[in-house]
Amino acid sequence: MRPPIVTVFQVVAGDLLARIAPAVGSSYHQGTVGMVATLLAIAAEEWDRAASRRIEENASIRALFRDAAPAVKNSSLRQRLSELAAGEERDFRVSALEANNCALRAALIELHSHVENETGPEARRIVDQIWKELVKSTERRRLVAAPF
Amino acid sequence: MATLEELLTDYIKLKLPAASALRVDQLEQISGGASRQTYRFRLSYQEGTKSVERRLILRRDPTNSLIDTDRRIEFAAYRAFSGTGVPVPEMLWLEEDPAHLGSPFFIGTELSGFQSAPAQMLMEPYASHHAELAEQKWSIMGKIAASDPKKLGLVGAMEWVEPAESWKRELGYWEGVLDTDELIPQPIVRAAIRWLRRNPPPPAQKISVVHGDYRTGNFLYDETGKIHGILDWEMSHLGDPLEDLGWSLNRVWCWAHDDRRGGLVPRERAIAIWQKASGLKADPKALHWWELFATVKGQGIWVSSAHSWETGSNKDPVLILSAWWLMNSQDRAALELMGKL
Repeated sequence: MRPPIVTVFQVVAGDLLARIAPAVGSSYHQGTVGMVATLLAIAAEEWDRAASRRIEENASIRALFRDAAPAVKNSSLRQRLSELAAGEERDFRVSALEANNCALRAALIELHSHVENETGPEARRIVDQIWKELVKSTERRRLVAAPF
Repeated sequence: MATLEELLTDYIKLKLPAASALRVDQLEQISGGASRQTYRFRLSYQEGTKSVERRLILRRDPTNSLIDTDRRIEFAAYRAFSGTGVPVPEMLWLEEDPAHLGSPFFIGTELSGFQSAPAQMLMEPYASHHAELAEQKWSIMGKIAASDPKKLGLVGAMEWVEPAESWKRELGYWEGVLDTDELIPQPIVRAAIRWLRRNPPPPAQKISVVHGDYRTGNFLYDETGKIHGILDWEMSHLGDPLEDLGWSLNRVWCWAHDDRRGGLVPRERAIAIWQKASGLKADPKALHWWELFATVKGQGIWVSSAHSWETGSNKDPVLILSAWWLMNSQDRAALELMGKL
């Protein structure tokens, strides 16, 4: 689509803030216009990276599961982690990538909780790997205008 | 169909039967927290030979709100702190019968002519008064913490909790919100909850009124740096006074995009002001627990706002904005507090 969606959202957001909002009589509705403009700006920031960050994250979690699964004592969890680790993206629509991401992150919570209760260097190593992945996950989702 | 102005006029006539020529006008919806619809209006009437004019605020329940709260508790909190040195608007009428305005509501006086927006506070002439604003902000919070909920008449209106139990009740509540409303898995906040359960805080040094959402954005200030009103008591309850302090230090309120808490002063300065005003101690380990808890509570609110928008009839963009804008910052705040950033 041309003009690019990111540019359209950014320009429309700026126009809403600079031109439309001041012309709206009610302060409440001015605020609503401001919120809609901010939502468009966030959507513009997310649009371009939406697929790539999910593909990157899903691959990263699958690699973590491949590494961690052999050390998981719970056989049912080990089996599920192995199955998820063997998965791959077949549908590259954002909704499909998101569904895979949710399944992987739900299993990541289970793995995290499980290895936190284990002792030994291998468990500690997996916990460290999970924290590294979680830090990266927040970097992938960072917004320019976010307070922190 | 009657307008809201007409419905309000009819209702207030019931409350002021001796008034004549009663009129409601200049009704305008304003921003006033995400859990209730807020309107300002002018009330005028004759009382014998005297003409009376008052600027009032109507807070009405919407069908779905950001925070599911009890309006009776919010109303009681405003009334209890009136005249105590904690600046609050005067409350007039609480009405729980939806027959009058379509849903329950309450009416109080408007504190007019002041600002509440965090963005405004970062600009002149307000930016030159951050030290004064911070002094008052955390001193007033300290007064709330130091007050006796029994003397305020709030025990009963608010559910009592034992000092050793307050953390369990709050954590359990917000974990329940996440369990119910989570739309996508939240591995960071789940890890934070597990850490909080493994490392409980000491019992509360006292049971205080906890405002529940005490932050920059929920008080009214002027261009000289004076605070005129503490608003949005909709999540107030009894509990550990460190809960409010921890919430006010939450990174998501760093509006200036730096380390200043609430966009005003460094964390240590805020704590020092609160300790002096409250006469209480902010034990570092206990406060750390409540700061991390604040990230769970924050995520609970953002998750439930997304859930309300996606599944409910309330399509107010504030519900999306809070979720889109703050959830990742909230996760990063939790990571920082757990020493992972």
